[in-house]
Amino acid sequence: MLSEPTIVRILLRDRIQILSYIDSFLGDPASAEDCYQDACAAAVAKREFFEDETHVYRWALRVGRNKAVDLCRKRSREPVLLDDDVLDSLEAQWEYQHALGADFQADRVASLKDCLSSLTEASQRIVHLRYVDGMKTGRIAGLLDRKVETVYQSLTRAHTALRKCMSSDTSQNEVQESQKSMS
Amino acid sequence: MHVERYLAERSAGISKINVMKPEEIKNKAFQLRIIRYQEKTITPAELQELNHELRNSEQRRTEFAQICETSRLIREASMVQVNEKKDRISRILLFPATVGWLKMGVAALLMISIGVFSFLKLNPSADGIVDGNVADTIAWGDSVVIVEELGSDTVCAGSNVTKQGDLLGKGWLRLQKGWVRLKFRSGAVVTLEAPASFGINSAMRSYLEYGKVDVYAPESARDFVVATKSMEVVDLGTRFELNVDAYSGESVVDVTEGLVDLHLGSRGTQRKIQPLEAGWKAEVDHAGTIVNMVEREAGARQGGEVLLAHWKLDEIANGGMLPDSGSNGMDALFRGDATAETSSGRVGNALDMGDEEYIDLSQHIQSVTSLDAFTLTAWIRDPNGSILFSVSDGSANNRIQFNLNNKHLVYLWQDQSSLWDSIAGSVDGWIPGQWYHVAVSVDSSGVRLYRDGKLLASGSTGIQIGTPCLGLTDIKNPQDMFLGHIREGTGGTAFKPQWFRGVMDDVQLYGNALNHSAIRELYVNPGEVLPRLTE
Repeated sequence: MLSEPTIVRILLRDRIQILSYIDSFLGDPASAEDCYQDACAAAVAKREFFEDETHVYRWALRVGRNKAVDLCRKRSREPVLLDDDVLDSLEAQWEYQHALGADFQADRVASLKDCLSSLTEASQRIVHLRYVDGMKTGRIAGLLDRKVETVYQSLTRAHTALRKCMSSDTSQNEVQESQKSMS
Repeated sequence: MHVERYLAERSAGISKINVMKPEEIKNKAFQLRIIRYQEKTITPAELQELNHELRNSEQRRTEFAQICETSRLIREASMVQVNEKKDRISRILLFPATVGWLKMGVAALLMISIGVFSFLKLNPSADGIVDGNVADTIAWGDSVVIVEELGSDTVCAGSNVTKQGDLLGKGWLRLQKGWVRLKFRSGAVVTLEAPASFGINSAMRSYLEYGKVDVYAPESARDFVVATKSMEVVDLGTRFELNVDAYSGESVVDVTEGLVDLHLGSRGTQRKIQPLEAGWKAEVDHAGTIVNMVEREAGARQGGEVLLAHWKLDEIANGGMLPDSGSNGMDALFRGDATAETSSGRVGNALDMGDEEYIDLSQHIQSVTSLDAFTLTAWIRDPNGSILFSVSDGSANNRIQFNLNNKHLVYLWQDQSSLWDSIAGSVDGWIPGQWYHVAVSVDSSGVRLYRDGKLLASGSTGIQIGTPCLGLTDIKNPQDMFLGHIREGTGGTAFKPQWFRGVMDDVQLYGNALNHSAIRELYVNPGEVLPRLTE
């Protein structure tokens, strides 16, 4: 059984992963945050239920998903686009990734900031407009006077570059690589 | 012409035209589908394809999850920057309004003077730090750690540690000889003894491959982590030693102050969490299993126990008096049915309390509520109510209480507002007929709850609304101090009067927060008090 402060620590540590999972089928960062908050409150209320940190994470994923699906049902015009069995598979995927790298969540925002700065200025602007300002690609294209396809290309390239950079820039990888090179 | 040139170059093997492979084209198309899916401009055909790919390919699911997470991280990273910017802007905007332009001008001149003085005084060191190692004055740049001190014979592979004041970034530190004291940007101080291999991950995280470290984490570095191959030691504001054997991978964690959480197990496994308190030492094998957990020798216990009262509850004297067997004469009064019976206790007799029966300590409330720290311990059996101990203003608007239910042992507080907060430790019920030793200790660092010598929970803020825990001195206008009772709540929180309804024995009140070792000693020696006369 875990103590309440421990549960809170786990939920805060894993916040980005839980949020990204909820947002992956909600497509609305602000609502995803609401669902995450609800899931956290529910987890603390159910504190005697948890046996280990993975249990808390898995449970928060599932509750967050349920809350998000409920929200989509309420907004009847916005159905969940992915099939149920796909959501199940994705949930398992998030659990797997969590098991691989739960320890380094705290470093990931800093790492991403570094990686973002390695993109070209134009790419940074497009990424910012898309993911921070929440603009759709068509609008970004209009704003920057570019073709829609060009903006899509920029976004895919940016994602590829960021993922490569992140995977080589995580602190653990650095340490492991350093370890290899020194041993 | 261009085509001819391309064909010529291609045949010569020097083509610079980047031709995408079919797999790359598929990948790009998949990424595009995700981006369109995210912005909800995906077509039904594309959505069908996306569902199909995610259903059937683990690689695609991995990629999908990574893109979603990266998208979220971009937002988070931006929010951090925006908040930092907002802080700076608000400071700039608010400052003139608060102090006026004239004062601001004077302040600016003063700051410039200080800046010039500091520059002239400190710049000669040219290594970004000042004498005395004041953290605020360190020009950290991208660095994470500063070398605070090192032994004269210290040898470090790679020479990244050569002198006091060296700034270090992420990476490995191989100490071959001597010792070095590192200060992390978070304020955590780590002293490393050779031979050791130590990884610096971030301001709040490190990795000990082998060797010995002594870690001190002030409040700014609460949750500082030292990871090993088999566990993580999460510092909850404390001082501890960690020793990892280079060959066996076995670790020993020795907590000298405060509390740590051990997250046992290697990466990718389900980790178990074990709190470890000051005075306790845990030996952990290479797989992350605790093979031995012992309290250090009795002499190492912090000591200094201040026994205020010891109510043995063996008998009710005339007038309902329950004598204090300690030296302070803090006799208590039994309130309720005068024919109440004592029954066989954990030691001697015990008090069997029912509805409207409780122990009144209110005559000592002034002296007790002046205590900055306290510990209350008791033996209990068959609890059928909830309340063990309460101090309040009589209305429950201001109160602290120590209570229990079927699943928890709870320390609860309320300070004038209508909201209460609490810290709770989980228990696996209360077996009928079995005696349990329960204890709560409270001081400025927080609350700790114990049952049968085991630490159940600790914390400095509540789990309900996150308020700092309150102690005895925080109760305004204290009126009631009871064992086994709290009056009806008539303030912001309305509730009916509560009773203990069970058997209580050997209650002890200390004027300090006993540590884990001391609580355990009381548990294994029923009826005895601290300091024990046999010591």
